[in-house]
Amino acid sequence: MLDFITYLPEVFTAWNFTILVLGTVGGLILGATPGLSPTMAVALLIPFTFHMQPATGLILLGAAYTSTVAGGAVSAILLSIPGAPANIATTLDGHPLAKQGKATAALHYCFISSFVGGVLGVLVLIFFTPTLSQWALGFGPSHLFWVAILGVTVIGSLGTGSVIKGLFSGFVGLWISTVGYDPILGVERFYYTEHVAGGINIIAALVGLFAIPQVLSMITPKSIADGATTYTMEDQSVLTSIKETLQRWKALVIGSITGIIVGLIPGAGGQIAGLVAYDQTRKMSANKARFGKGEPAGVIAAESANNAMVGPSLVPLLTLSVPGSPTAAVLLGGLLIHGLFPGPSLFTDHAPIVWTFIDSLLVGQVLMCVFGIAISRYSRFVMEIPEFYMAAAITVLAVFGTYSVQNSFSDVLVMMTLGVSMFFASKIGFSPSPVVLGIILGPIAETNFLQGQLIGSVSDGVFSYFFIGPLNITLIAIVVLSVAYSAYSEIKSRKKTA
Amino acid sequence: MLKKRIIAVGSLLLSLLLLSLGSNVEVGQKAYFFPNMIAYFLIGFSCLLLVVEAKLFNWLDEIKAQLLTFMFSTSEKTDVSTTHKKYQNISEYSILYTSISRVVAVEDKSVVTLRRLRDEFFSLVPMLVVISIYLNFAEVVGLYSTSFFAFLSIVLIYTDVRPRSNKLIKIVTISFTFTGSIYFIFAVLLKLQAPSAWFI
Repeated sequence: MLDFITYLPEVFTAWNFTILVLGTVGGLILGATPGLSPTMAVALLIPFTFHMQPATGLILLGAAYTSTVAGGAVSAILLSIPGAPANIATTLDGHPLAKQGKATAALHYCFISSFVGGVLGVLVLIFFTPTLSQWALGFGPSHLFWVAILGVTVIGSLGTGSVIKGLFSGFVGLWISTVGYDPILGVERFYYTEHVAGGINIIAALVGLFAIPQVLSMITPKSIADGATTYTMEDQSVLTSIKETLQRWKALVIGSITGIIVGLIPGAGGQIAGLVAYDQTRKMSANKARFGKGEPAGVIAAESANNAMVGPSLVPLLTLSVPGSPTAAVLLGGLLIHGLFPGPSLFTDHAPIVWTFIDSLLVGQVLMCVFGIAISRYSRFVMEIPEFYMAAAITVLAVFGTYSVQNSFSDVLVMMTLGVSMFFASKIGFSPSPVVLGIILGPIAETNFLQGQLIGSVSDGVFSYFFIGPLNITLIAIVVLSVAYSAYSEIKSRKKTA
Repeated sequence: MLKKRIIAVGSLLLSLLLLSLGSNVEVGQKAYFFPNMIAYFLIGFSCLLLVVEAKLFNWLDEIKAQLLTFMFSTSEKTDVSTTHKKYQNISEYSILYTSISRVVAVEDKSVVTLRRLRDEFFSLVPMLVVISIYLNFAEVVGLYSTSFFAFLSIVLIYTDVRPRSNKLIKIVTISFTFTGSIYFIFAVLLKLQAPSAWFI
């Protein structure tokens, strides 16, 4: 707690604050642009942070994460196209509000409730993370191996439509991470072309897997824009909006608590938080019939939930390397390229960087609310940018972003190959998030597996080292339970649709 | 179902390929233990995909029935007569019609999906050509120059624009401004070392 206050002034240094403002405004604009998800925005920004101080780089990524989630509500409200998956629930009441001529009010509700939820979420991050990281001090190679597997299986089974496809994607990511040098023996593996000498660069994989499929889907024929109309913005004072939001405190509380709980569950993500909060608020409301027809409480619950999820989704990430959402998985890549390995040592060895980052998330919530309300009047112009301009701009940015990391054109080729392959894989139901997490967590899993193998072979045996002991059994049980639960939910939903 | 079966078989083939890549090695076999272990898991997941999503057992039954029909031309008759005995009141033709139309509907859905994928692929071809030219010539012609042409080409291909129109001038101006901003960020601010080429 003291550390949190000690490093707060670091956020307000001229350079860090400028980056925070730029990240917030840029994130709001990117979030408001349909098709640009928070995950992709953070992935595209990671190469830029490579040239910055670690704390500054993380401030930029954190600001982008927070504000793209909130910015996604703009297109959800004005166009009925969620800017990000986390804003799906916002469209249900946000767009009907815009149709009724209350677009400004809906946007105000969205940014005010995002601020409240976001602040509560970051407070959970501040209080929970150091405690959990102290607990993680007792982790050995076998536990860290199971934690890495947990990360891959949780994102694989919860974050995608099909459990088996999710797990398959996650393990493909793990396999891709083994290209290059073996971490213990130093033997170079799968060296069929000079472009993969030294392995697959994490940033190339991140940018390729998230940005390129999005670019390609922007230029394929589709019908989502058909009949989409933007709405004129009415005049409404911010004070009135604050008063109206606080009057619906129940929705605000339900949304924030749901978001915090969902954020703490590894792999769940913002869309689940928003939809669960919306559903709970509707069930507990006296005016159930008004939901879906322009009920402000619907927008407030959904938006407070998806922003309250941001802070807690970083708790398992910073302590155990298990991300709480796909965007947090990308953020893990951002931490690793700056030499910051999540775990107990992060809060002792790199305390100034980590606490400055967490503080910036808190300040970022204030900036997101202020700038969000300020630019909401002009936000419809962002959505009028044609998709082919966006596609062209992202392609060029992806090439420069990847090239700039190591001045290597091989990375660009790897990025493009992975991206195009992922586009076709996504067409048949495979998701990029598990692949990315597999690539990121692969080296952690392999190094700890091989170390554990060495320790096990000179002690009680490899099997007992990995499968015996309360912590090993608990972690294995969580892996099995998460997969089993997801499989059960999938079977249930399939039966329902049948 | 056809799509699901193609996906499951494709996944199995990919898993087997990955396993074979790590199995036929001469140097440092120990280093391939972990990737091969993952490949075995991938084979397991592919088999699950085959059984659960591609309905492997139904598929095998279908193949068996088709083979029997092809070899003896008897199985179809037996099936229809059995069904006919079961539902005496319903005419044989209506049962046949219903079952055939069901099969056609299921197959049609897969065919439509595959057709949609094919159409999407063809709409992507120009983009993929631009990207491959961009990546192949960037190191020879110049990173910033090729970026300008790549941006311009993508916008021109995917928008309706007539030669000598005002829209064309607007697109060229936007492409130039965008590439200029990229140059400012990467070359001036970040001091990025671009590959030495004919132009910048």
